[in-house]
Amino acid sequence: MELPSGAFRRNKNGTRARLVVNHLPMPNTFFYSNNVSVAGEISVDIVWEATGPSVRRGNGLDAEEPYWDKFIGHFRDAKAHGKGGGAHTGFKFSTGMLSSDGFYASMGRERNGVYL
Amino acid sequence: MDVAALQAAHLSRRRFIGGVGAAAAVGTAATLGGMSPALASPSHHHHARHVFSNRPAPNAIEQSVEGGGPPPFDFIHWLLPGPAGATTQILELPAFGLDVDPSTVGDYNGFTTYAVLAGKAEDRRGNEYLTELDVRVMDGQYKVDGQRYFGTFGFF
Repeated sequence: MELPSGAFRRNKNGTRARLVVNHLPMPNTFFYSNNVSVAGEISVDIVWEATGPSVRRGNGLDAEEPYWDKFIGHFRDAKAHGKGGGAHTGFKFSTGMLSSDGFYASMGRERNGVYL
Repeated sequence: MDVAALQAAHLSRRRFIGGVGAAAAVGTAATLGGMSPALASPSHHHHARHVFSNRPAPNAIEQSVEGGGPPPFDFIHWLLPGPAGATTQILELPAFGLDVDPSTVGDYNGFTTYAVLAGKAEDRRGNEYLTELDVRVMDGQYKVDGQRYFGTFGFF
């Protein structure tokens, strides 16, 4: 979904970025037998910080099925942390500090589709 | 909270507060309306911005429709980059590998951030939950029907 102006900022060399949205309307999807979408909203304040060098990712037009690698990018591993919250159908929640530790985060430039 | 139970076929965001918001980026991309100005980073946008009065929503990446996750996670119609063998912290979704496009926007050229974050959440009544949030930002240019546009899009 489109983000409000100024919600996302990063530094010049792309090693730090921050996303801040407050009460952004968005649909929520419940994965029941038939997906049902209801109106909701989300708020987040998340910071990404690069932890490694820029590495080429993706194989562009040389990608093979299932074409998960059909892009070309240069990405840095990163750590992300922040807080969030949301609401839908009367249910409202807020998080404590969230972290990407234990899985993965990344940041970088890429191109796909007709830009290959 | 019983994580194993949450991995059953029926996942309720209300119980789990999982950030599996694929609908926000795939399928509903067509519902996006006009665009707001792109990222306020002067060095990034030193070139002229193309301003249109009615910008279309970007295309979803083709892989998001053709691909999908490996069973039993084939209901996931977006890609999950991460080190091979790794799983997300709470739902234990398997990573697809590192040579995997993190963007949910197709025909796109820009700066992308991606993270799967986990931690605790609390509702208004003080009930605690485990939460896992997949957050991505795609900031740059994209093309629709051969026309170039600029925008900043989020996936939650």
